[in-house]
Amino acid sequence: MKKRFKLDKNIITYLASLSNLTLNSKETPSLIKKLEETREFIENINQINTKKVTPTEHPGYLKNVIFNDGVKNERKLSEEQTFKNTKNKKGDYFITKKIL
Amino acid sequence: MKLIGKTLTELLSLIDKKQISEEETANYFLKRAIKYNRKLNVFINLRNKIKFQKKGVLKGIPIPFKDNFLTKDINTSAASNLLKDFIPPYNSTVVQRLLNNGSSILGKTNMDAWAHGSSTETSDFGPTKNPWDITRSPGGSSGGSAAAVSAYLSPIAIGSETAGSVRQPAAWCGIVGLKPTYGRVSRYGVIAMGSSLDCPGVLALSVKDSAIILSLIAGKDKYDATTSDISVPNYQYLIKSPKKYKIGIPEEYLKDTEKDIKNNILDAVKIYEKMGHKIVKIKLMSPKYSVSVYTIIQRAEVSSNLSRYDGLRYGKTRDFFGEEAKKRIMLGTFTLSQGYVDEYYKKAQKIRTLIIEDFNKAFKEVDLILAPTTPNTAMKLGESSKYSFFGELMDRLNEPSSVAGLPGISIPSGLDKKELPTSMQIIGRSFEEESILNLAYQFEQETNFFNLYEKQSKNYPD
Repeated sequence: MKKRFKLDKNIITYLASLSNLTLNSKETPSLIKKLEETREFIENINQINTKKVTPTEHPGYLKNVIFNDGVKNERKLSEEQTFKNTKNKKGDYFITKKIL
Repeated sequence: MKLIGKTLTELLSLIDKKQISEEETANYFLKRAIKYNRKLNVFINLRNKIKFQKKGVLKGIPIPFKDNFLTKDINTSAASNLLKDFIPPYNSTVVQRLLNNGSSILGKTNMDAWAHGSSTETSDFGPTKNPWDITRSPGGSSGGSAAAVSAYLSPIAIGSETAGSVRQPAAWCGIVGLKPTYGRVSRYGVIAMGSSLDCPGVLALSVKDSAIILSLIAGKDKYDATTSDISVPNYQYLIKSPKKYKIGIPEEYLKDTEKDIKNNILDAVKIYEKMGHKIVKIKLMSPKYSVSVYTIIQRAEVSSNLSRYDGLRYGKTRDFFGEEAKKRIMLGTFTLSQGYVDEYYKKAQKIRTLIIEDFNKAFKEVDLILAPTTPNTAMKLGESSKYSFFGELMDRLNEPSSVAGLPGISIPSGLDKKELPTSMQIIGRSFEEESILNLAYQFEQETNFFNLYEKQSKNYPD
C-alpha cells in the first residue's frame, strides 16, 4: 500500500489556490470533511488489479476527427456579440488581471 | 377540448386534424406553466409569450430546456449565480434542431448548479419540488425538466445526463427518461461538465414521444467531434414491431435497493416473461467501483471545464461558485495533480476499460439489461446535505452504464407504499437505442404505466 495521507487544511488551501478559488473561513471546515470522506471512498479502486489494462479516455471509439472551420466561418461572433457579456473591456480589448 | 395528459403524439395528431391550433396548444402549456411554477419552482426563466411556429414535425409545441442548453438571446445560467446574466450568442445543436423542426421554447428549467447533484438543491435559485409530494426532491440534475413533464407543464422536456441526471429525476417523478449512447446526440452548446460522459437526453410521458424527439436530435454534428456518423434510424417506427429479447437481471443492482422497488421489478419481470421474453440472472461488476471511477473522472473533467469561468469574457468571478462546484473543482485538481495523477485519474481510466469489458461480456450473453434506476424513491428536500457526495450515491445504478457510454431508459414500474413512483431502467448496447425503446414500449403498451399519469393529472388540474 502506498503512502497514507489525509486531505488536510494545508492541502485544501493549496488546491484552492491552484484552482483559483477563494475559500471563506466558514466553508473550509465542511469542505475539508467532505473532500476527505470522498477521497476515502474512492480508495476502493485499489482493490482492482489494473496492471495490464489500457486506459479509456472516452467511450466513443473515434479517431482523429478533424473539423475545417471553412471559408464561411459560420461560427464567427460579431464584435458586439463578443463583448456583450463582459464588463471588463476597453475599446476592443478585454481587461485582465496583471499576470507578470 | 380537454388536453390534459395528452402525449406529444396525440397533440400532434389533434393539430394535424385541425381539432386544435398551434396557438391554442402553445398557450395552453404556457398557462399551465405559469399556474404551477410558483408551487414547484420548475423554471429559472419562463417565457411570458411564446413565439410559436406553424411548421415542421413539432408544430409549435413549446419545449422546456434544461438551463445548461445555450439558447440564443435567452439567459442561460446552468442554475449558477456566476452565469446569472449570461446571454448566449448562439443556440446549442439540440435546441437548434428542435427549433428547425418547428418547436418553440417554453422556458429554461431549474437544475443542480452546473449539473452538479441529484436533487436540484445545489441550484442557486432554490430547489424544484417533486410534483408527487412537494416536500420531496424531484431528483436531478435535470429535476426541473422532469417536474415539468410530471406536472404536465409539457408532454416532453430536454435534459442532460452525465451519470443519472436524466434517468434518476425521471424515476423520482414517475416519467420516462431516455439517456442515449455517448456520441449519439451533440453536446455542442451544452455547458460542459464531464466531457467524456455528458449526453443530452429526453424526459417524456411516453416511450414513443421520447423516440420521436431522439430521432430529431440524434446524429452527426460537425461542431461536436465526438458525435458518431452511424445513421439515425426512425425510432418511432421501429418500436411498433415488438421484438423478443433475452434480458439479463444483474443481482448486484438489486442489493441495497428498497423493497418496494425490488418487488415492482420482480412483477415487471413476470410481465415480460409472460410476453415471451427470456429472463436470466447475470453478474456485473459491483456499482461501488463505478461510483469511484465516475467520481474521479468527472471531477477531473469538471476542474478542467470550469477553469474557463474566470469572469473576464462573460459571467461573474469565481467567487460566485457554490460549495458543490468548489468541492468538485478541488477534488479534480487533486486527482490530476503531479504525484497523484497515476494513482487516481489514470487508475480510474483503466478501471473504466474494465467496466466497458464487463458490459461487453454481459452483452454476449443477453440482449438487454433490466435493473432498478435508483436504490430508493424520492427523498425529502434537505436530506442531500447530509451526504458528502449525495449525487454519486443516488446515481450508483446509472454510473456503470454512463461510464461505459451505453444507452439507458428509465420507465415507471408502479408506486411504493408512500405512494411515490418506482422505476426501472433498460440498458442496451452502444447505439442500439431502438432495442431499449422497443422493450420499454412493450411494457408501456401492456401496463399503461399503471395509470400513473391519470392519477397525477388529477393533482394538477387545468
